[in-house]
Amino acid sequence: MASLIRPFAIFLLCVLLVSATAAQFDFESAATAYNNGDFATAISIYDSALAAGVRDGGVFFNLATAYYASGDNARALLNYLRAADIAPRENDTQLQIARLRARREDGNMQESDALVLFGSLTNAWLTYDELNVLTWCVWTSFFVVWAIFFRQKHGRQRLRSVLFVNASVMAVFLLLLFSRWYVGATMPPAVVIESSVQVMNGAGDNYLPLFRVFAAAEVRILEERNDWLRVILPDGRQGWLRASNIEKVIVP
Amino acid sequence: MMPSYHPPSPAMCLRLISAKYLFVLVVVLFVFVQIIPLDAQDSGSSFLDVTIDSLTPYVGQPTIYTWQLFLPAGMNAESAQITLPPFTGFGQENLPAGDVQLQTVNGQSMQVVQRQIVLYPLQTGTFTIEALQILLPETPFQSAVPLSSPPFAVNVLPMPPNAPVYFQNAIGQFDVAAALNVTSIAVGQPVILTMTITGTGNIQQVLRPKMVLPEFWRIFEQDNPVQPASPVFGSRVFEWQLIPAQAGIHVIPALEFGFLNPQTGSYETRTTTPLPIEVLAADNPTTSPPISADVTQTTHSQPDIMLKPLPENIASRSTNFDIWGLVLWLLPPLGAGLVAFMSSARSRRNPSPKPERLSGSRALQQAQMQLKTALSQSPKDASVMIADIILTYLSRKTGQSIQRETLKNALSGLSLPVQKTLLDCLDHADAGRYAPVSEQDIKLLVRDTLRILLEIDKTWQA
Repeated sequence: MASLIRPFAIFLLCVLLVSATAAQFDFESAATAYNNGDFATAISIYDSALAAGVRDGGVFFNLATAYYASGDNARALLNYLRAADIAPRENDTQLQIARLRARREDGNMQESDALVLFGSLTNAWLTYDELNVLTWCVWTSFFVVWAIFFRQKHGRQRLRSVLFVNASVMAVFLLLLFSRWYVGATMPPAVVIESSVQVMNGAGDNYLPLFRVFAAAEVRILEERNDWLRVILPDGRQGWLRASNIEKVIVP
Repeated sequence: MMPSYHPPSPAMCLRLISAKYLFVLVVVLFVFVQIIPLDAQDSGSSFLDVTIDSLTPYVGQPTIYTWQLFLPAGMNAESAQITLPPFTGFGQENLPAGDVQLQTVNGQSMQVVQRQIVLYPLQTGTFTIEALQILLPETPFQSAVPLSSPPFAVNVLPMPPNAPVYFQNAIGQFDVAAALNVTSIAVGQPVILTMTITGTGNIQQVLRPKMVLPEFWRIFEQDNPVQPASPVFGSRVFEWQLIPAQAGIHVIPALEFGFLNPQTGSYETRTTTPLPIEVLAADNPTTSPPISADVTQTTHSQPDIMLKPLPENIASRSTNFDIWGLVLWLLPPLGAGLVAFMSSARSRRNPSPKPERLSGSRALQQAQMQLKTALSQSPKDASVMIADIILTYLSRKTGQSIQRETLKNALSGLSLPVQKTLLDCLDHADAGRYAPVSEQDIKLLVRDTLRILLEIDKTWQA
């Protein structure tokens, strides 16, 4: 067994080293530009880092803050949400998100979908990856206990209760992980980035206009058809709007 | 010569009388038909009239589809079988049905049944509203009469471009008014702002206009207290509760309401008058934030939020690790399965593994505990258990797997009375499997087994 583990570990390490490429960005200039009120320059530097594949909570936070300072509250909220997705336990990020949600024209809409609520239970504490790892640990411990239970001929009674507790914890974690994954995969969150967007009842301008949503409104995407997206708002309203009017929170 | 008179024969008389009565009957029937309106019989004069407000409505513009059924007075209108067209491409809402009216049409008194349906075009394009079918059922006086309307081609127009900022979805002709419930309040006290939209159009669908006030106002939307009775005309009232956080003479700015006027085909905007209000300082003045021009777009010339320090070198991730994630998730169940497989394979290869040899009196202690447990079992189970306990004890003491067949060899070092007592205990235990035994028997058997195991243990210890 030991002879198998070592080559596997070396291979994994090689993949990690190859995939993680360090790139240099002039964040100092971005900070200077921001402090001098040149928000456009700061935004372009942070954007270039993101375009190069950087996925860092700090970069998203700084980009969002630059947008916020420039008055673009929609893109500010979008990038704060991205920052929170990577680093959910940052208080200043959560504070800014709450501030922008209170200030937007559509107000602070409460989520009404039970599945989305359940899937978002861990969002404020754990990233998806952290939840994934935690669930994997519980999953692994369950199978370890199960294997011991299977091998053990005596004292199974005590192990049975351990196994039961382990299985219950694993079920809870799996439900949390699966619901979060399902909600993210089937109803990806997005933010309206245009100042005012007309929502229609079909995928086209020739349909009935239903209502308007305004900058920084948060929606979830349900369906895509010919550059039009069917979205649902937290309060349950649904409609179609142009794909160019919103941006997804999760960056691929 | 006198003409001879031939009295009519009875048969002839009968024929004459029948013809006479038949004639009278025909006359009476004719008069009956002419005098009595016999409304029901004359349903051939019934007709159907269908109209639609506009054949070129805008998408979302409510359009009224009206049908009127004209029936001769007195005919039962309830019996008419009505088949409405499917109204493909339209949302629909029935207006409340009115009473049956009486009208004179071409000198004839007719009853008029009228129904109205509000149609909401959902998509631009040309849609055909199929014919409305009404069947007047068969009566004793005449056969069934089918009535039908011509189909309509409705061309639904798209909304004109360049909608004003405050346009949401209103189509029609509207007017707006706004009012405050008080003209003077203290800081922190609420004031109710009411906006009333009156007119014709999609009044029930009109959305709440956006309220934009300086930041020191807190805005709470109130439920609509009044809903229009009709879907196509009336008043819609919206209310906001406003709470100021700053004293002074303030003005609630004019509220703007944009709508599409289908008569002119252009957008129009109605504006309420600005409403002044005096906000008095509270007894305990609160520290209110400074006034800001706009709620949504606040540009900060001097940034007030610190950026996070970032290292110059940040690793960019580009590889997707989904496949490795899957492998990691599969490893635990695969590992557990492997353990289970190996374990079962080993047990198949070695069905009776060599027992662990226990030193000192541990084997005896375990046997004693198991015998106590056996006492709580049913007599039959206890018998099986006691036999197993004896064999397990001997196996542990000798370090060899001892079965009934190999028992004599294992006991060879013991005295004959001890061997005999032990074998007796085993026999009794075996007998308990097949013969009825009492709890008392089991207690005795446990006691005897304990004694003999103690004796064996002492012997082997020595």
